Amino acid sequence: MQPRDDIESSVNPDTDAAGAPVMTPSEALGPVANDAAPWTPYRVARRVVATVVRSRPLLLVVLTFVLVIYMSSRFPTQFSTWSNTKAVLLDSSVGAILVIGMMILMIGGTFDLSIGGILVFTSIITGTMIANHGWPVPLAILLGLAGGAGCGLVNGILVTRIKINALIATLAMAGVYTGIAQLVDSSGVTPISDQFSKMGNALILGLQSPVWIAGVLIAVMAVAVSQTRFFRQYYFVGGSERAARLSGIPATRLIVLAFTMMGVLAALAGIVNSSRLNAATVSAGGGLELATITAAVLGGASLAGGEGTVIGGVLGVVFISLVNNSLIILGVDVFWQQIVIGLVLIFAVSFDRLRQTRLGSSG
Amino acid sequence: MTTAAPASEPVLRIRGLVKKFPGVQALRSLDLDVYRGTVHAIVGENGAGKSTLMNIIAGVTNADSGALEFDGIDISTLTEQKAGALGIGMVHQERSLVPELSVAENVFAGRQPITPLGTVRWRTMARDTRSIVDLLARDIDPKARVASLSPAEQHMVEIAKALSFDLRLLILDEPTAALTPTETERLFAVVRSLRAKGISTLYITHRLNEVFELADHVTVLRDGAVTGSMNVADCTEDELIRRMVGRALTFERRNVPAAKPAREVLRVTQLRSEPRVKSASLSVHAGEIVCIAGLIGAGRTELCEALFGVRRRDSGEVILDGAPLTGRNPSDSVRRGVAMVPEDRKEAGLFLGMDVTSNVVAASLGSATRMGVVARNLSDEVASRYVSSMRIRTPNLRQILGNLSGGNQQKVLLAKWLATKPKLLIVDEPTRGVDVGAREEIYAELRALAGQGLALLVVSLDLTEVLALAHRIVVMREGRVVGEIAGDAATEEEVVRLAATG
Repeated sequence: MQPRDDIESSVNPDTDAAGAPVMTPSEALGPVANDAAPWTPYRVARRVVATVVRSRPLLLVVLTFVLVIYMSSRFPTQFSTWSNTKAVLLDSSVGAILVIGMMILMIGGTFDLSIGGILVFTSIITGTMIANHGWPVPLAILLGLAGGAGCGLVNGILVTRIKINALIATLAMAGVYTGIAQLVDSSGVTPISDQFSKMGNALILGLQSPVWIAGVLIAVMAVAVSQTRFFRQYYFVGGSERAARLSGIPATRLIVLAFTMMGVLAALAGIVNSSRLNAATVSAGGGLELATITAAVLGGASLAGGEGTVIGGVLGVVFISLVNNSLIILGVDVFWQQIVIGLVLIFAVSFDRLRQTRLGSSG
Repeated sequence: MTTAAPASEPVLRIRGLVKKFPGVQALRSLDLDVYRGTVHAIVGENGAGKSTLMNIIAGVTNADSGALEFDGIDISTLTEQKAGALGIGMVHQERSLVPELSVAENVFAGRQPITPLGTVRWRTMARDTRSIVDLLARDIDPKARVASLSPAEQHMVEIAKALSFDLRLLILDEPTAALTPTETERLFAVVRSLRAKGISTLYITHRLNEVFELADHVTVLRDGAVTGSMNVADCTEDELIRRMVGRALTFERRNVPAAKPAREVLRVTQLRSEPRVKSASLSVHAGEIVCIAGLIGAGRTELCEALFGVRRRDSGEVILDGAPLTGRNPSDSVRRGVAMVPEDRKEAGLFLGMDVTSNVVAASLGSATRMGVVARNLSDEVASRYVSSMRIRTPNLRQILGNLSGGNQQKVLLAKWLATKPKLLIVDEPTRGVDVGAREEIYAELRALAGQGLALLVVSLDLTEVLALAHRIVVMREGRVVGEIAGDAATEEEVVRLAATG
């Protein structure tokens, strides 16, 4: 028995009996903030390392930083230029729009594999309405966004009301949406129109419009998801759906809404992308779900739900863009991109598992 | 202590409540009146319909027919959201917290104070949480992650969450199951102060002494119907039990034959398994029931898990039948003749979707296998032996386990481990969630096993259980074994004193 306990028990046996001798995970891991012991450089370093290791987004920042420093020092003329930075940001913008929706879904404990299908479906509808049916651009865009909302709503109903597993439901619907897109226009629409193309290629203060669209969305949604009561409900739904329901949080309605938002965001991403290229093609949707889920997981989301932030997901997207960009500059075969991103995902997740087992089951 | 019913209007009035689940009539024409500012206990065996009734009152589910009025308002189509708005708060037996979120956010789940922009006022929320939590447990930080709290603290957060509503009726479902005596006292104080403010409490419990300590009225349920509703002052424990089980039942408090000196099956010396077990020494002889008592967090379950190989053993010595137990995982322990019945039978021991036979032979498939194939008739032979010897009530061996009562499931779990022919049987909380009648049978079964020469190590938070079963009581506190008492000489006070103050 430690002397401290003796003092406590002699002063107040009640508190002593109630104060269970439980060691919290943070205590087990290292120093805690209210520790009375003096700060030594070793303790500070341990704390910093522990914090970085504990937070996947922070780990991501460190990795991004290391990558940027390495590439800047080896390829200053190719990598650390304004035009390359712009290229990375532009490359990230479509992914960033998508990852916002995916992050909300994953916080809520589910995911959507049909985003590529929705993106293709909506951009081809928008494109064909403008190019082949003479619709005014804003109306065609609205139709595309509404189409995205419809697709998302269908996904949400399948998953929550008919209770089909999200993996099966959205995988199946990905095929359906892509198929409908091909029925509408099997070869894709190109070119769409000059007016439509101008929107996606406009420069504002030196940056292309997709970067601005993504930037504004990120800023608004990052605050909304982390701070507003409405979006914080998703942390309850994903953390424990039962707890959410018992707390009077309408889980089903929220998940349907999250799928619908994902649909709208996928449509927006598709419209932005096709506007930039002045083309809507079926191939635009390939591999998007994998890249987006990878970015979200790197950014702190877990398949179990209840975790993750918009900023984390965006950092994941930027990191993947940087890796792609670096591989191009390094002159590595383009197929390496998939391999590297796959391995990064495996690494991040296994690191997580390791961390959890180290912390023990009490966490 | 208890007061007579004030002759006021009931705050909650239920008439002719009926609820059916597929194949089960959960509630049959039930009437209930709860008066303002009273504590109303609901007792009954498992499956009597207590939880169904509470869930209907709290809007978790709706009744098939019948009238429910709360303060004159019809609440027969209540939802959980509306229940909260009306001032009905329920503390569920199962956890309803999100472990990764903070205490404060869990308390105000979906009702966080917000700014006009919809963003959460974190500081206001933390302050409000602090003022509620302090009533129950002073040392819980509103900003702490719920996952970092002990189970008892988490339960306090759960109760704080119910209290955070502008309450008029508090529903507590087995609230003290996970609490220490001190925490229980604090909870009772809170309930009494609510009563003084005119707030009613519906209190579901298995523990009859709590009825007499806390409640004004008590309603007994059996098979979905009320078998008695009375003022606590006018009834006795015997009467409650008679109405619960439909027959008089003497709760055997002591049945401890003196242990004969026998072979030492288990000797543990200074076992350490961080972070919960600091230093534990004990021994168990053949034919002996040794109970480990202690408060929540004392490391009782963790000690058993370390012995069984679920947890790492950092240092110390474990001798089983004269030879050191060196295995690092449960399968090594099973091979050496150790079996462990875990605390949570649903999560860690039974296959609820499989039949009785499959469950009984699950840990001893070798005995039911012929040339590498699991033989149905061999399995059934093993299973039927245990079904008859342990009086497991099941229509047949093909019955899906999930359809049996909690007590019978617990017996199947025991049978499963007995089928491995252990020398040492570790049982963690043998009767958690088991009704009074089945409890007595499980005690009898454990005693019979000891009589056959098995060494038993039993962990229980319920002191009456410890006193009823133990030949010897080993008391743990803060990860250390702090004392040992002979079972027939032990008193509740003695055990509590050792456990609480070392």
